[in-house]
Amino acid sequence: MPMRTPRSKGSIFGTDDDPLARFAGPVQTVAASVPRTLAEAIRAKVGKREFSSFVARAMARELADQNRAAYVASYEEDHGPIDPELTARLEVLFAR
Amino acid sequence: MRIILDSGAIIASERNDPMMAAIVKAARKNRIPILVPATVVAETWRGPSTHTRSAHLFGSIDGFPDLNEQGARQVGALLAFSNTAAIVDGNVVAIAIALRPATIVTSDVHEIEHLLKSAKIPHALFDAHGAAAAQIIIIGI
Repeated sequence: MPMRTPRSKGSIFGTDDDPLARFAGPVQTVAASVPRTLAEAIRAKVGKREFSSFVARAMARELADQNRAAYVASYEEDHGPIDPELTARLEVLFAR
Repeated sequence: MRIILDSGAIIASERNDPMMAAIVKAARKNRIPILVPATVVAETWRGPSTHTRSAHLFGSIDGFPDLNEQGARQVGALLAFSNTAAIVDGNVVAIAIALRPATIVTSDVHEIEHLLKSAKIPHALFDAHGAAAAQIIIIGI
């Protein structure tokens, strides 16, 4: 019999990959200008009460994405281009 | 799909392993979450002055799953199945099992495969051409 394991997100390991999880702590109100139509689309999607968490989550994801880009750029600056064939094979693997 | 890094992957990154750079690049392109169990951080992190590359990598990580009591029991059960005592490896594998489909990035294929086989979890190795320190294990769905 295979080992029984939970498969749901947010399992016993606190394994949810909510990008906000690592930024736990006090919150701060910030003012940012965004296109009105974007703000309206987000409110329509998640509701008024979830607006802040939606924006915060998007900010955390964007920060991680930019950090990934910086990590890759830093590597390529020091060691040359990353093997495109290897990267392509990994992309296929990760797309499964 | 999620990518779980074990300690070998963090060390490989610290040594500028080309495989790790390719993994981060491909994960970015495919928008795949990368996770580093908190136990792996504890095993590898010794401060920003000696681990600048790791600090850089950790900024790219989507989550650092912690190990609570229930999770610890799950890891303990997995170690019992496999008759081993490698808590960090057990934690990596238990998380990957819980979140499958997942990809484990490790330099200790033997230990990770032993844990997976003990739990009867089908998996496959990604052919890394043997050049890099890190190798990838794919955990079957």
